[in-house]
Amino acid sequence: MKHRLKKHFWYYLSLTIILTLGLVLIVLTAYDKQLQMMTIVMTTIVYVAWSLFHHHLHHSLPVKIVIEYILIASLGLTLSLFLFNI
Amino acid sequence: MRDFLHHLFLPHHTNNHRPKVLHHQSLLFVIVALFTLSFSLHPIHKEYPAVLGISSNIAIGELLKLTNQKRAEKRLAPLQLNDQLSHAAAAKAQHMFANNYWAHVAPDGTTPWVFIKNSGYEYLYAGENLARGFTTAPEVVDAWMASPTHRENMLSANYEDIGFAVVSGSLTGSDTILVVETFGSKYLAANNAGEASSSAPIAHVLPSQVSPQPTSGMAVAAIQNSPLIDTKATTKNISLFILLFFIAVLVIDAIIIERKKIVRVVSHNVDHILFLTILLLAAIIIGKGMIL
Repeated sequence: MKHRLKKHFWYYLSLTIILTLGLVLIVLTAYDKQLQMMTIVMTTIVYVAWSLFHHHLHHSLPVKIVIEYILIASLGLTLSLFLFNI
Repeated sequence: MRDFLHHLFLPHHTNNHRPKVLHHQSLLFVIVALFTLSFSLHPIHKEYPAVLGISSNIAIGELLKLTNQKRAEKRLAPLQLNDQLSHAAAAKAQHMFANNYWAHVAPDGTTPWVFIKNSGYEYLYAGENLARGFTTAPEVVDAWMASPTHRENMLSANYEDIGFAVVSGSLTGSDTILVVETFGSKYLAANNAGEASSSAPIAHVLPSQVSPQPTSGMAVAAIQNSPLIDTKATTKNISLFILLFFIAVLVIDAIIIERKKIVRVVSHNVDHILFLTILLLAAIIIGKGMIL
């Protein structure tokens, strides 16, 4: 994992920055739940797109990986929806 | 049993060196279960608030007592509960719910002072604190006291009277309890004509005209709900548990895979851990009360 983190340092750094920025926007949009939910959706879409783009550039991109990212993203979105819906 | 738990939570030869809970089918199952739960609980929450609801206990009497306690600690005179200011606070709350906004000044430009003027309270100084999403009076007062501008309002020697409104409803997409606190001291035309001052957290204005007819607002003494199941706490705890669970499984999986030097097609745990950690932090932050 250390080798992987070192090799793809800029990818992980950029992903951390993107997700942290998403978190800041989630906090800043706390005054409006719909806007906050949209921010979570956008952050999730950017996470999936950026990760798959990285895989496309540096690795192969089999369907199995695409499905894994989509499922993890869907899990995050469903949990957010669960928090917001009630 | 041990083998079954290994199969579920640890990379093992029986699960193709990927914990079963991280398999696509398992993730899909959790997603569908959560989705179903989310949409099945919503109607129950709406139809049976006594069973599923937001647990809360905010009474105007307690807000007043706590506010005056804070003032007493600073050797300031206690504020008197004023019906006109309470009507102004209630009218402001009603206006916020009707126009779906969370701000001191409404989107149509209506300032808090309009509600005070309309209540018939002729003020020299006036101020407004807002809070939403809190479930007890001490939480509200503590949040205001933690903010310099709101504390300044609560501990201002300029004010003599106070009014409150505690109203529940749907605001900007979520069911919430809104607390409006309105401060004021009466305008004494004989010796204070023309005086103006500023009041945090928003600009204070001297009334340009006097409106002698107060409007009637919602008279709400307290909001006390004790549902069988507190949906706010329950959904939050379930979400936090699921997020922590998956983060833990991903971390353990990454460590074991690294140690055993197992090569897999799907092993992007760091990405997923980062993403789920951000959501975990968001879930902790989401649902906390807000002040304005």
